[in-house]
Amino acid sequence: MRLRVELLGVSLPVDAVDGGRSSDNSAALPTKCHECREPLATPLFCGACHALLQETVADHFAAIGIARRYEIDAADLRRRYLALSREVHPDRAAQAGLDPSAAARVSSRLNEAMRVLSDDLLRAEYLLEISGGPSATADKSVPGNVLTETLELREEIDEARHSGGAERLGAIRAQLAQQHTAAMQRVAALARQVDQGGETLKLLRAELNAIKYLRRLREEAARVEI
Amino acid sequence: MAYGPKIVDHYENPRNVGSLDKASPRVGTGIVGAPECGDVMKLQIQIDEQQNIVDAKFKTFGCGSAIASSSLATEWLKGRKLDQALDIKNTDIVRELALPPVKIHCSVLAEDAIRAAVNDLKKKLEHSPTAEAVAAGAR
Repeated sequence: MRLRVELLGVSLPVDAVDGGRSSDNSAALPTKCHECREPLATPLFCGACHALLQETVADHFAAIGIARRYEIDAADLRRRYLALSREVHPDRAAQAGLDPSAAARVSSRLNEAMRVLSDDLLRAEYLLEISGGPSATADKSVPGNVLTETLELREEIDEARHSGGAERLGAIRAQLAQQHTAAMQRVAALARQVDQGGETLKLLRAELNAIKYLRRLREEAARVEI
Repeated sequence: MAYGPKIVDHYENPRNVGSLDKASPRVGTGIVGAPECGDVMKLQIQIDEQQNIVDAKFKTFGCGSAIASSSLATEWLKGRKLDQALDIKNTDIVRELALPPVKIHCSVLAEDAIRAAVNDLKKKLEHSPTAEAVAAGAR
């Protein structure tokens, strides 16, 4: 049976409340409010009795009430975020007798979750982090000759800037855009498999590192005016 | 944030910018990067028969502190024995340039680049027959 929660007339399926995780959900999240036993759309607070629950424990996916995976339904994410945010909006929170400062904390918690989850790169980075993968500081590795290629492209961009090579610059920009698309596809493929752990996490770290260099290159190429 | 005069000097007048022949048996090349900020640094050293570092060059694409750190590193490398190259520590660079705490990673990058260049050169000295002659000449 699919339970549904009513939040301001927006009906949200509750089966996603556990983050879509089945067995390995170590930090088990409540699916019902411990105050009023109503089903929860987010572990942050109860939409029914307005009890404030876990403000900080929940991961971003659980906070918004969607499955913990790379693939997301952007429209659904946005709808849930807006519905939940409305609940803790200062005006409404005051009406419902919610502590305003607590409501503000929940609100900023939702904003942070939305910021991360709605961005493909940040979401992949976040999935890597909560799957126990290495940070960019701990593991600076990149696939293949990315560093050398980055250096060469930076030099080419500099050359194009000094010699007015508009055509060359255009070609570099197109090449970088293509590389970025391909790299994001590799990130997506790996991010879908973070539950495999180990080598997959390392490969994802390397691809995410490479994208950082690629983004800097694109910024640099975009900044040049000829 | 106010930067010290030494950072600004190295940033505005970077020493030893350029490249050495990567293929030369007497040149070691280190290319390192900081994925957190997207900075990339190339540092090269060249030795003579006595394994003295006679030249050092760098190319850094990154912030002013990263450029200043690698510029200072090349200055300090020149004239050293290859074996003493790794005595240059990031903390020395931090102190000399008065790097603010948020820029300490730039000095770490420079130390990483030195190590990578030295390792590259040592590998060449072990494997290349020409370089073996160089190493033999040093003894």
